Amino acid sequence: MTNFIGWFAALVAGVTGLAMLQDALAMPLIRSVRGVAQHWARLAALIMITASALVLVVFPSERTATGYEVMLRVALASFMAMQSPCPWWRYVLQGLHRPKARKVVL
Amino acid sequence: MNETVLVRDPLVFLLALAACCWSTVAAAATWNSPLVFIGVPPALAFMAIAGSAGGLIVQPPVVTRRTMIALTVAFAFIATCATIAISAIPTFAFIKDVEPAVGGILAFFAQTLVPAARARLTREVSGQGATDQASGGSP
Repeated sequence: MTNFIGWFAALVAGVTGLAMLQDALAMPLIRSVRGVAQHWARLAALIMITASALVLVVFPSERTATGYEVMLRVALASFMAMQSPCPWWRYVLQGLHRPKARKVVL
Repeated sequence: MNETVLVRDPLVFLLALAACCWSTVAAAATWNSPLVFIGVPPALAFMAIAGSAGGLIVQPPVVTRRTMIALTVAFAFIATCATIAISAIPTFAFIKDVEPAVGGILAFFAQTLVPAARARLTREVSGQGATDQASGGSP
């Protein structure tokens, strides 16, 4: 079961990181040294998270972790998922664009 | 009548379902990836995924979420396959040592290379390319 939990944490981190990467790229850039540095640091971290997590998803035999490390990963992945808007699966699969109500034409 | 016995007894059915799910989960979490058997090293897959995710930087992400996820996976796949295929050519055997780097570069530029190759192929197929006619196409 620990194996599956670790694998699932990697899956959650991978798709959340990819979604956050797309949103970070669509965000308006703050034109200052600090803003640009923050932007690129965020992009680099998200790319590393996405790539390493998705590699663990497709190569499960590469995951070698003790129970404490799996707990750490699960905690970090769930913390990352908690940073996203509330229905996590909708944020990952559809983004921030909510479906508009249909206009009723009589 | 034997096939309905399992379904008629709810307890047996639930136990069988639980055992089935448990064994599937246990197998899925510890399986040796078929990618290793095919010949894809993890380092190459890592660099291909990182490259295709980083390639979003040069291409404004105007697509929907699902399209972006599918494109990222597709570009990583294309870059991985291209790297392995190129390194199998005897002239390019030196790529074997730097496969992850080549895969990362190919994946980073795949968003530009794939549509360009597609347009070029379309022109070639329709006989309007630069290689078989004096006019048309790029010089």
